[in-house]
Amino acid sequence: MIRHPKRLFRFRRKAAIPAHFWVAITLALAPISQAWAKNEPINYSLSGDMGAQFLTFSDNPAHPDQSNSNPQPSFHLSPRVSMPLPWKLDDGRARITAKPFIRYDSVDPQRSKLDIRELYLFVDQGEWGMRLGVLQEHWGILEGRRLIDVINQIDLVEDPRGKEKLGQPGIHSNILLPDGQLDFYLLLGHRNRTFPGRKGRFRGSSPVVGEATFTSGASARTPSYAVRYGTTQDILDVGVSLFYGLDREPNLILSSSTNTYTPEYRKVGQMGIDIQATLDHIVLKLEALERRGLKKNDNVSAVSTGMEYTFVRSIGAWDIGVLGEYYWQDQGVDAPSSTFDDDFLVGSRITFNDAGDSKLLLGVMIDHRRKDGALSMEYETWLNDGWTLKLSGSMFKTKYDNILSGLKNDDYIKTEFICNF
Amino acid sequence: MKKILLLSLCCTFTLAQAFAAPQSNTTDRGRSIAAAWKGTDLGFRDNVSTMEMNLIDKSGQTSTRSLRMKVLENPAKGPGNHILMRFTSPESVKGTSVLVHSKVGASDDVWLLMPALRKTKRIAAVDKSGSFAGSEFSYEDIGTMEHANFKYEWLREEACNKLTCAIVKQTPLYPHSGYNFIVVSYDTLENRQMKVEYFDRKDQLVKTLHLADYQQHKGKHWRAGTLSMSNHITGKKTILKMADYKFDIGLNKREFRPSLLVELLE
Repeated sequence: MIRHPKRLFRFRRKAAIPAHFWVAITLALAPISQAWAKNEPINYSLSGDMGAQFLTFSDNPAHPDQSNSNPQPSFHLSPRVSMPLPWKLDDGRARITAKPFIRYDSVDPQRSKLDIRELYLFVDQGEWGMRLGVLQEHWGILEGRRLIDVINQIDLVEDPRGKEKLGQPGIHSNILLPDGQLDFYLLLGHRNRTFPGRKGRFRGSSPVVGEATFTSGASARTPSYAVRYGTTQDILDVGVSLFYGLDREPNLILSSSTNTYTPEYRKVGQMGIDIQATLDHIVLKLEALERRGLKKNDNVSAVSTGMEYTFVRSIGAWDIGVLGEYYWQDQGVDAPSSTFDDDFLVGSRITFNDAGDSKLLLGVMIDHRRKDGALSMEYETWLNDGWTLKLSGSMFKTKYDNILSGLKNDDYIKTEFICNF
Repeated sequence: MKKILLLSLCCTFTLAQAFAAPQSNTTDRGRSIAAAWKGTDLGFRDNVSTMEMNLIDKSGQTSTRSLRMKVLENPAKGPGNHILMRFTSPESVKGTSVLVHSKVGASDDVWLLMPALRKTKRIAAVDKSGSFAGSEFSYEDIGTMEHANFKYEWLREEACNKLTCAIVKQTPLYPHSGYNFIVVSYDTLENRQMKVEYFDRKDQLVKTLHLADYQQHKGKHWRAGTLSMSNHITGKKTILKMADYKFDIGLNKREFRPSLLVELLE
């Protein structure tokens, strides 16, 4: 996935998981401890990945506090444990899943962290299912921008493209309908977006280090609510979603005395639509968002469209896909200027169909109004059965002094060796 | 007016006869052989199995993947089985899943789950002639060959190993097939598919699939133990070894819902 690196400027952290939530998790774990006490065998599956990552930059950093360390090495470990629960359910089953994520970064302390990506109790009862705990959810279908993806907060310091997300505490219930499904979410506790620290790369001249603030009487404990209806009708997959609660994307307030940004979160209500038409040769995608806040500047209308066409086995066994996406956004004049107001992405996805299952994604994101852009690539191949090599990188091009110019020295290549277990 | 009607009716009749007469023999014979093969499969309800996939390149280098496979028969009481295949090893692909809803008269619906992204992606019809997980099988090849999806023509009978086989030419009727036609060998004893030859859009033989080590389940349903697909263009080969067949598990259609692929990973 290619995501525009400009996003990283609109953005910090600290989990606010309510206490009653942990009580619920502990209760859910009770049957396991029982089995343990009775010395019964516990079935569980362990999988996950760990890896070493090296960020190599083309230039020295642009801002005074940033570290000169180049490359910037870091390590991660993310095991995933899943355990069926010995509950008696008529036609269903229950299990518990845990997936922590640990990153140690040698340069930016903000990037070193332990986050609970997932930790939930899952109950599946035929036509009805429920997850209770810390969740991950993905909405949206476009490659370069996830407009309607609102359940989880972005872990921006982990991945400047915004691809990684923090675990979200809450309850999700899912009801199957004859030709679709309904999903309800009660999201408990707000997660603040993570940002690179003073020493870190991928930031503007002012780091986002201030304590998060909340407007309109909200706090980090304010719950959010979401519902989504999804249906498949022949070639069409359609989803309609509603969200009410704290917006995941903060306003950044610059403090001139300290030259730092403070994120500010506000209450919004929004409606999202996602449509995919899977035609014979081509996949067409559309996402639309209408957001309303208390202030006029919180109102947003946005539309993203995209298409992907694949030439199967075009060069030898290679499948070559061509993709194009366009993003449009309308927002109040005083609002934080959107980086996606009139942008497009042109890219290509190559599946090599070789023994290493290699894949390459190339893309150019162009903001033709601001005359800047970013070139991105992602490549992935197996080294052997357990190890994967991932290479990714971006080059930023900016003509005028704008939001992207803070990144002008941050052209990078990320080399990752990942061990899957 | 009446005259015209009568005339056109006559015309239609003779035309239909003219077209039908010369081919009815071989067409019917081909169709009934394929129907007999499909008939042995009726009522299997559901089955699970394991699959070992060996990819062999020109120089003979082999890489191995393991999968678990679930098949549900006609859940909508119409034609079209549901197939779910999930990689169990190596670790780098573990969890990657392919879901196929076979269809009649239309190309199958195919979804791909990439576990790292925890996202399910629907694949465009044309892409289904593309490679399944780097193997010599395409998504199209792993579908269930619904009976109504082909035009049939019986070609001949010939010896195949120790058996006699009926050779049937099958032309796909669904859109965007990667093949102009396939030639299937059915053994005359049990109506099992023993060999499939795939001819591309230029009528060139591109691949040959050999099916062997058949075993009968529930006293009726035949399942091949070894499927080897040779690509004559690239010289590459894929061998599937099927094992641990179990029937009547009580799989429900929920497990074959694309939106629940992620959640039912474990």
